[in-house]
Amino acid sequence: MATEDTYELNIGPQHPSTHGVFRIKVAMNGETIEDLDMIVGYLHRSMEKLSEERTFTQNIPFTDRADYLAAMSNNLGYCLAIEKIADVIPPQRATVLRVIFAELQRIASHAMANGTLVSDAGAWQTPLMYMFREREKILDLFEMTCGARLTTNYMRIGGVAFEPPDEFYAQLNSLLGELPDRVDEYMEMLSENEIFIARTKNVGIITPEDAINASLSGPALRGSGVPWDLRKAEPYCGYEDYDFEIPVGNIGDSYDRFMVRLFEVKESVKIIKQALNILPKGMHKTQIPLALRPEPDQVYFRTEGPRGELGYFVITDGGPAPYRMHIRAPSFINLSLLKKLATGSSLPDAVVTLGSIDIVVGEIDR
Amino acid sequence: MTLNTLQLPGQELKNIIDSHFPAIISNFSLDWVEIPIDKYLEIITWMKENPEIDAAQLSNITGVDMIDTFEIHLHLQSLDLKKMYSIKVILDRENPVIPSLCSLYIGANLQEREIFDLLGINFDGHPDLRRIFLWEGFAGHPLRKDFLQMDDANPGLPRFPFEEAGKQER
Repeated sequence: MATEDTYELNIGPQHPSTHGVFRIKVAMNGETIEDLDMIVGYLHRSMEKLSEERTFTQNIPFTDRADYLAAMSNNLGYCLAIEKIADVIPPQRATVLRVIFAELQRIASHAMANGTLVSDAGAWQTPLMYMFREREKILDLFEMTCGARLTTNYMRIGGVAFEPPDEFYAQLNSLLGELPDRVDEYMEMLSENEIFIARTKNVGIITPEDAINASLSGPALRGSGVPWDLRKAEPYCGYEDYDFEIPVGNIGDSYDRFMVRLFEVKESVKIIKQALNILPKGMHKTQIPLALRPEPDQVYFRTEGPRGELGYFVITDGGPAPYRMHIRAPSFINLSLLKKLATGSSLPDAVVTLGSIDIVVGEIDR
Repeated sequence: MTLNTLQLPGQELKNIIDSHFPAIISNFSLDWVEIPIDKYLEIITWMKENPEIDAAQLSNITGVDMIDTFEIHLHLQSLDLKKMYSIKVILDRENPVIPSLCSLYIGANLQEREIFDLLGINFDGHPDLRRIFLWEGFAGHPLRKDFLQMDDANPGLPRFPFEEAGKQER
C-alpha cells in the first residue's frame, strides 16, 4: 500500500478513535492521507449462520448483540420482520410500548454518538460525560422494565416481554421534561464553540448524490440534506399517526450530522410524549406457538434504527428456524464512503469524519 | 403476507421491464422478479438510469445458498419516487460468478465483499475482491449449507430444544 513517497500508519484495532475493535491502515504523505484500507471482522460472530440453527424466538438475543448500543431497535426490527412473515399481529398496547422504547433507545444511542464525536474532536471526556448523564437515566428505565441495561432482549414476536412497572411512567415523565433543556444546553455549549466548529465544519463533506449512491442511511444521509426517514417514508408501528419532523443538514459535513442527531433527540421526545398519551390498556403480548413455523416465504423488512436503515432479510422454508437471515447493517454500509472521504484529508479530520458517521463495530462485523 | 408499503409489486415491475426487454422475465412472485444472469448488469444499469424506475440506491444485496443453486437478492430503491424493487438472480452452484455492481453503486463494494467472503460467490469486475470478515486462508465459506455443521460436530445434540435427540430432519 505504501509507496516511495508515503509511509504506512496503523490505527487500531485497539484505539479510542475507532469506537471498538476496528482497524484502519492509512498511507500517509506527510500529514495527508493518500490511501486507506479498513480491516474489520475482529468481532465477527457469524450471527447469520448461527441463526439458521436456532428458533425464531431464540434468535432475538442475537439481535441485541449486533448493535449493542441500540438493542431495542434491533429487537424491534427483527420481531417486525418475523411477525410479517408469520402473520402475527401484536396488540395495540405492545405497539405503542415498542415505539416508546425504540425512541428512548434512539436518544441513548444519539447521546453516545454525539458524545464520542465531541470527544474525538478534542473535548476530552467532559461533554461525553454530560451526554452519558441522560443515557444513564434511559438505561435505568430499561433496567427497571426488563432487567438489562445494554442487551435488553425485551421485544418478543407478538409483543413485548414485560409490562413496565408503575414507577416507570413517573421517571419517564420527569426525564422527558428535562431532555429538551439538556439538548439546548448542548447547543449552547457546542454549536457556537469555536474549537468544535473548526474541527467539524467543512470536514468530511458528503454530497447528496454520493450519499444516495453509496447506500448511506440515517443521520449520515439526512446530514447531506436528503429528507429520507423510514418512519415517514415507510411507516411501521403506527409512526404515521405521530407528529414529528425530519431534521436535515445543509452541506453534509460532520457538524451537520452532529446537529441532525441533536435535533432528532427533540423529535423523539415529541414522539414519546404522544405515545404516552395514546397508550391503550390491554395485553402486552399475544400468544404464539412455541415452535413457530411460518410458510415458506421471504421478507425484507426495514426499520429506521438510530444509525439508519436496519433491514432484516429472512427466508423461511417451513421449519422452526430461518433458512437464511441477513442483517442489513447500517453501520457497515455507511462505511462505504470512508475511503473516499478520508483520501486527501488529514488524519485528525478523518478521525472526526469516522466519528460523525457513527459506527458500532458489533453491527459491522455481526 | 402483504407487501411493504414502498414495494412495487412483482407483476408491475415485470410489466415495466417487459416493455423494454421483451420476454426476458422467466419468473416472478408477489414481491420479486427474477432476471437472467446474462442480462443482469444491463437491466440494473437501465433501472438506475430510467426515470420511470429511478433505482438510485442499492438498499441491500445479499446471497442465499439454495443447495442446487445460489441466489442473489437485490433491493433497489428510488428515494424520489418512493418505491422499492426486489430482484432475484439465480447462479450456477459449481461456478458462481456474477457481474459486480461497483461501477454503478459505491455502496455495492463492501456488501459484495461480504457475499464473496461468506458464500464464495465471485463478482466479475469488482475492484477489490478480498475476504472482509474472515482472514485470508480461511477454509470454506460459512454461509454455504454444506459448510461443517454443528450437528456433524455434536451428533448427539438436538438442533432445537423441543425436538428429540437424533430426529433432526427439517
